[in-house]
Amino acid sequence: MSDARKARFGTGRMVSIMVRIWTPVLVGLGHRPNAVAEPFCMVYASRWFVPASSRDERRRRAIGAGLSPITTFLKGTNAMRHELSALPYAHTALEPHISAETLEYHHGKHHAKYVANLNDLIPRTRFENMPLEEIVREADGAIFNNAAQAWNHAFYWHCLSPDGGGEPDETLTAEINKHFGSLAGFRQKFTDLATTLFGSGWTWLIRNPDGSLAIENFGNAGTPLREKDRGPLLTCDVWEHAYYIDYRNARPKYVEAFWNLVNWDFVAEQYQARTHASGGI
Amino acid sequence: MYPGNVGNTSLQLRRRDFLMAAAGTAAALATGTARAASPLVLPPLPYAENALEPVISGRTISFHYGKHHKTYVDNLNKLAAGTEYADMPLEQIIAATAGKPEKTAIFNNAAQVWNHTFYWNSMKPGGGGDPPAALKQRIEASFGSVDACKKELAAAAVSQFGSGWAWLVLGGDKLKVVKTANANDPLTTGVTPLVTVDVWEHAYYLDYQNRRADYVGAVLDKLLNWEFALRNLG
Repeated sequence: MSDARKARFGTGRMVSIMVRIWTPVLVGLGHRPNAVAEPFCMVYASRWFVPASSRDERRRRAIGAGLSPITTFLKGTNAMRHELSALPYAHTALEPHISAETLEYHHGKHHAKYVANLNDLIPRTRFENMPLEEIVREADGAIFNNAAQAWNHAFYWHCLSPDGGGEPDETLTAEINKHFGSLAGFRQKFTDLATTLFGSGWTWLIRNPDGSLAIENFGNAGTPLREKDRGPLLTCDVWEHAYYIDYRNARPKYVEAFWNLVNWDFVAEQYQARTHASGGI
Repeated sequence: MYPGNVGNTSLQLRRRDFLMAAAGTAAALATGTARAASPLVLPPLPYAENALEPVISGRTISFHYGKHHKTYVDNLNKLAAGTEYADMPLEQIIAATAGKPEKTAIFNNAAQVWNHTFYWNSMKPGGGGDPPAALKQRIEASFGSVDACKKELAAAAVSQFGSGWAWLVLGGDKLKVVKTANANDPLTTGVTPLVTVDVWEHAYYLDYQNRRADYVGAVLDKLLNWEFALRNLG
């Protein structure tokens, strides 16, 4: 920046502007002050896709939301192009628990490939203009696998944070105590399921429509998002690619490290949003 | 005869504890008739850990064989101890527990023990290339060409979503390609496995990371043990 511009705006002002522009991009809309809490999926439906009918309108909305113009279309078709969402932190941010090398492959190759596969699969199908979550709910086979993996991974990134670990807020702690006896009991049950899931898959904390909490394993691309009115709150990816570079066969060590990264603020937001969406039940 | 095991009496004895005969299973695995009520033993690798380099590193094999395969053996021994399965030949455990939800853990570990042993023998240093004439004929009769067979096997291996295995099997009088998820193997479906490729990520992640297709292609071109397949063909 030139000295003249520095003098005109002041460094503090520039920093503040930059923070205002980039914060939603970097940390996700769910973290905006004063934002209405929305479940992750809804936030992402408006971030990743192009919901309006006109392409220009769709682009304007995306830009207006403080995002890069990510709304593009598959060449030669009218199909929406799903974009790989950015990691909400630097590749090195989760070290030493999860290495930059793992994140470079996991986000830059695996997650990216699911998104790319999805874009290859949907043109000229009924899914070509459907928001990601709807595809996850309605598709089967390869389209489901890739759509669900695209969604699950984005959710997983947000479940982790360099400032994570510790304990959830009072409200969520009370709910966890109610359903699992104690935080330690909850953590033990989640850990047991995550370490014993056979093959590839995901361990989820889920809010049921009746307000109860459940911990369940879903194989491969499985996700509670597909199940009506069930709210995913927290997930741990136990595909081997999530931990093999750092922990090899020692999945329990990865799951232990996972607890140092859990983004309880995000989990609490999901819980609140789901509670709100179900009318407080 | 099991490859890499000739003339080693102690290994053969240990192997006999582990590898049991069962009707309809791969002939090359049938080296004994019953197992005493002693734990299963991890069968020795049919080659040195670094023998498959550069296609599969010694580091990968040390984890894959020394940790993953061994853990399945240890888990099976723990789960079978004091049960009806303690004295049962491995193939019989697999047959007796397949498709029973309450027996999932014992099935998974038993099948993974069997699958891995079969996988080690499906490869050899300096493998790949042209199959022996007798096998080549059968392959051409079923697939048209060896290349078409390899292509189909590679496609199955690459497209198996999640963890699992791709197999060349004999079903009826035809050779065909199947893929199975997680611990599942084709033994319980009445076909005869000839060779397999492990596509659990732990089989290739240290060497190929996300590039499963490269791993599969290299195994088929440079390591596949066609002689083992021919022996299983009977």
